[in-house]
Amino acid sequence: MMAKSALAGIRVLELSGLYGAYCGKLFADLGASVTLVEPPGGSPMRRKPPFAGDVPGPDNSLAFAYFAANKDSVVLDFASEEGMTSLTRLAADAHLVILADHPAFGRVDLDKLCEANPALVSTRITPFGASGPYAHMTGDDLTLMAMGGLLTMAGFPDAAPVVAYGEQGVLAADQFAAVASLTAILHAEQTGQGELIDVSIQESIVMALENAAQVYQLEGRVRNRTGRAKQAGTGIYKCQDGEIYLLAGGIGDTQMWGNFAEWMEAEGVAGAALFASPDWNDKAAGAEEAFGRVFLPYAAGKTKAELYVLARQWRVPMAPMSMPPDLLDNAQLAYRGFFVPSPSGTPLAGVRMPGAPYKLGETPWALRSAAPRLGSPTASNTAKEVTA
Amino acid sequence: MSRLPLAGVSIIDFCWVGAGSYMTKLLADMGADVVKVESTRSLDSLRLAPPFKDGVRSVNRSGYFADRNSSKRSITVNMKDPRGVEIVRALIAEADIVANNFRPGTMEKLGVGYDQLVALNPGLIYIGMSMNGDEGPDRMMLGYGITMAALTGFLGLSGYPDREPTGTGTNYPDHVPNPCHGAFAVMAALRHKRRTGEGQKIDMAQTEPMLALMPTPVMDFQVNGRVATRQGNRDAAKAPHGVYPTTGDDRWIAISVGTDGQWRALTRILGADSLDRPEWRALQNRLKNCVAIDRAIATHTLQRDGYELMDALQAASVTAGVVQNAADLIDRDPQMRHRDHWRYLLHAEMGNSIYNGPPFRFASGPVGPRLAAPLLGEHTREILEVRLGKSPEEIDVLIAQEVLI
Repeated sequence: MMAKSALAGIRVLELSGLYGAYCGKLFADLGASVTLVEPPGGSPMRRKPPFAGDVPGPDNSLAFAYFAANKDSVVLDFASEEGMTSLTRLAADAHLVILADHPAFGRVDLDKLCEANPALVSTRITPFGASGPYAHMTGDDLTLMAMGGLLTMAGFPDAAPVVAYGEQGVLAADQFAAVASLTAILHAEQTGQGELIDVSIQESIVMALENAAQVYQLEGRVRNRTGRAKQAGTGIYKCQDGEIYLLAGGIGDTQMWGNFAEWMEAEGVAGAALFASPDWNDKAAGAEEAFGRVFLPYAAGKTKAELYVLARQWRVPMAPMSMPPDLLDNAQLAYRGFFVPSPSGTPLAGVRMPGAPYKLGETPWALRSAAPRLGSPTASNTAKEVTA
Repeated sequence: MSRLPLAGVSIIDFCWVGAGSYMTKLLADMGADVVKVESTRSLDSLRLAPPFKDGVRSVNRSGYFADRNSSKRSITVNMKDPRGVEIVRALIAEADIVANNFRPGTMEKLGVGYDQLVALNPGLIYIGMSMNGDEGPDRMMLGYGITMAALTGFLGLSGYPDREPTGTGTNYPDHVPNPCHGAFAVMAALRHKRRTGEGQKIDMAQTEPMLALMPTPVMDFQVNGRVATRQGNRDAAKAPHGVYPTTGDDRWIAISVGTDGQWRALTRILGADSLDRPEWRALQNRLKNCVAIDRAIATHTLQRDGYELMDALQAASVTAGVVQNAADLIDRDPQMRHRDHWRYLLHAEMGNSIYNGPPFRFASGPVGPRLAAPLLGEHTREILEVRLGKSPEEIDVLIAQEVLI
């Protein structure tokens, strides 16, 4: 039996390129009907490496297989009158148009689509926003992480700032675009009034600056990259079979350092009395070295998994430093059935990919169909359903 | 828009610290009525996280807390007292959404678990955002953004290949993945409720949105047997793709070249004959020689002002951006000003204070922070009088008897 879907009945047109797709995916995975509008030759995401077997091909991109699952596809040539007419017709019957870096995005007139369909929500994602002094500039994940202020906080003081893995900057905009779009759809469903939404990737990255803006306003200090945290007991530490990340003191006012000190004492760790001492200052000069002399010999005798269990028992924030193969073996993720097999019908059938990012009790996340083959709308009932 | 899009949506918010509070801020800034349930006996630890106004460490002076709690109201309730629990339950009876990011079981111990609330309010939407979710062997683990970054592999994959991983230098999952996914799930559930009257429980493990945003490494490992590693600033399909020094103290520019035409423009603008080597004109060769190319570029960018160089490169369609910091974004960036990103709100104890507005604009009218962060318990009287019809005298008694503290 088909489970209920929270977003059933919402029709989305996704005019994406290398970004915009995760915004559409969030809708598709909760039951919206999402149509990827591709240019002749296919979405640029189809050409994004790596590929299955390292062989390029329109259905071989791993990223495309993931980001386009649950979507239908239609090929429209916006350079032709026929293509534009088809887009207008589809938009007249849609609830949401997502316009990102589709190769022909410049030909799309969102105002016109909104005029023809007053209840339509149109969301445009651009590097810097649709207007303003930087609106003409280009950007990709690296340069936007720079302009958005997150890059400066990452890395070592003695080397160039270094960007985080996985194009998280452009993905940040996709996520905020989804939140804004769904909010506007809820409003449109109540009032009949659509919305035109302008999302900036740069500004989406600015949302991730933690307390840097407030540190600047209140302390006049600019947060920059520091490499390792300047706090003993905070950072990456070696253990028997790899590394862990320890945040022994937590953030803000917590009892976690006390928990950590008790843990060390209960294990009979030599020198652990230092941690319980009222004179202990984790930011003092030499504190990290003193910390390491006590903690590292203990950690060297324990595995990541053993330390994780102990940290849980003692209520100390700590986690193993995972690499991709570890994730597929992670017992917690397996218990929750997080990774799900790709549906049949593509070169990636059976390959496990990330599944539900949340479990909605009544209207579960569901993987219904594989990414569409180029130019052929997928039947949304071909693949077996995997629910969260 | 005369009415904010989420006007009329009522949220009782038990979230604290990072991700949960940023999620409810997003909803509050778009018009939801968010009541933050707090207690002087068990503080949101972020209230005592720096930076503080005038450097004075106090529960109403944290800038970090303030930014995460705009447009909300705060009540203080002692949940250890049954009368406190009854007051909160009465508020929840009329609410659309209850949110928390405690470990599993904590809400149940307080008397406000989903199963304890559903009879009271059958249409209730309830979201729990613990680190690992409600089920499984590690469900009781506590976590922060940075430990989730470690567990998911995001930290291990971010940084230079030959040095310790550096991630984003922040608790990244707290700031974007978890607030956005939580808000999206809650609003999807709200739509379902409006259509069917049915509420539901949402269980969001805070590790899982981060994992959903990095699908390729696990797939590549299964399909091609490749284990992803840290790549620094390099890109498999662009070269040069890096961060280069400019004039000024610790100032840098990011440059990303995807085409041979952009490469020619870059060498012309840098005025660097030494870069214009025939063997570097093709992308495939630049990818192979990126170490030498990066070094050569840096010697030229070092002579240039970052903003002037960015303008020149952008004018020639070369993707480039200055590595900006918070001061640049607040004092200098004309685009942030154009978009009215930074909002200044008058806070009762902190005065004029800076907040993030949302990174999207609605054509029909402004959305964004309406109220500065609440003082601890600032709205206890107001909420109890208006929502629950308590008299000022009754409230005095409940305060004196340590129920509303």
